[in-house]
Amino acid sequence: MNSAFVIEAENISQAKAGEAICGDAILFKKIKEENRLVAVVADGLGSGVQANISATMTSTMALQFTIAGEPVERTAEFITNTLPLDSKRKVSYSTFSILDINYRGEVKIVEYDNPPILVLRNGEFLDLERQEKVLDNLQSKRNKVYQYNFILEKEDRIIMVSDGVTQCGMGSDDMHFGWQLAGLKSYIQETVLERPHISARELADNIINKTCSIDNDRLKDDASCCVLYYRRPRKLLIVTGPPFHKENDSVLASEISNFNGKKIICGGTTSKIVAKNLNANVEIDLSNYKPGLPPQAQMQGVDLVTEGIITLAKVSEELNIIHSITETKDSLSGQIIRMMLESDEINFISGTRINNAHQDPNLPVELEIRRNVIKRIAHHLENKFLKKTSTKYL
Amino acid sequence: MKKEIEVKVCCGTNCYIMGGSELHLIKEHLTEEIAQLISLKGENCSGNCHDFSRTQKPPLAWINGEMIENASIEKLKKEIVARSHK
Repeated sequence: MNSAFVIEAENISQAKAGEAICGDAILFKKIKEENRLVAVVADGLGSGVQANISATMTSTMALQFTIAGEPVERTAEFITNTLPLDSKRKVSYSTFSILDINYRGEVKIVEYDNPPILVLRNGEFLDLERQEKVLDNLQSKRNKVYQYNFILEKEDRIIMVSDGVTQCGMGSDDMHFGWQLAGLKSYIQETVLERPHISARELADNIINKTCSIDNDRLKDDASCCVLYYRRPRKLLIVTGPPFHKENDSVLASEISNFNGKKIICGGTTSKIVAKNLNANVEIDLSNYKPGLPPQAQMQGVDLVTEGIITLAKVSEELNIIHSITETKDSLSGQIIRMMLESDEINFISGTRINNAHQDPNLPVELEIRRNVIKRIAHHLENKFLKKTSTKYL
Repeated sequence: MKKEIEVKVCCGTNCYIMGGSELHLIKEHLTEEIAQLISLKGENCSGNCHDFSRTQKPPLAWINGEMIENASIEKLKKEIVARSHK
């Protein structure tokens, strides 16, 4: 895979109206050593807890088997034999789609009873050649799986949905058989035409919101959507702390002005140094100041300017707790986290000059060493949110 | 027409944790008549708190350019009220 590009993978699930949990399951796994990505969408029979268990088991097994390189026959057979029987229907059943992208951008898809996978390239859906495979050992009448292969190209979007999306609105006056694949396809095309750089997350969000609105906000089935977007990486630069040697002040400033992406400066003194070198103004903005964290400042050419160590410590603390971008708070630390999670690559430049004032033993709170806080933030971003990070000390 | 009073509060880390976090809310502690006169601004660390040759006690604030050390809402209020009568 062209390493200058990244795959943004996002998924959203919404439970059927009246159910507390969703009966679909979507799992991703990036295998860093192989530069490979595996994604699974499974839809368990029925809804609620029982469906969720089937779907979760199916997706977990499918993911592990695929990563281990097992053939699809064995995977499907194993899954159907392992799933618990439905007490009323006396069958064990869950649909699944498995997507496997390797380091050369070769995509392999296996699909069992899910709506067909969609690949959007240059505004048109690819007409993928479908190979049918009959699984003899499957004790079900539905024993066909479909396989597709293609090569990923930049700006491709792959969309996988559960049947709750394609069948929404079923039985209503204006769509007797629901939204169907055709409706979904034209909706995706319109959305992407309107916003060509729409992120995977927003597209998935839009699809599920549309599904809900077609069903008048009372979904008749669990609806899930998974979008993969192969695109140029979004980069973020976070600068904190003055350089150890004063001579490096100008180096720091040029790193910021030459950076291609979003920029955050965490540190009052740091922002002053950068502003001086770039002939810009920093102005502290007290207009929407909320107690809890020091106020933000405005500076031309920089997306966000904040105080340093207290803000970063808060970011680290919150990153430790949250699991997704939707849990971020409406605060400065939340804003920084959102910018981090919306990026693919986060570069830190940490100045190493010691702030004498922070060494005063009379301070009421403990101020940590910048370097340690950055290390912790980078660790969370890499391990919990699968981001790429780099840290440079000046 | 009374003269505007310029109030600056330090937003540096040191001043912030030493009690400066409240100083931005000074206007809420003043009568409306006096609050109207105030232009409130934030200021990055002035360096006065960690240059040992001129160490001043944080949090720091400035009223019409005059530095107030160890600033508190009470202290600022007194200074501002005194100036508003001039």
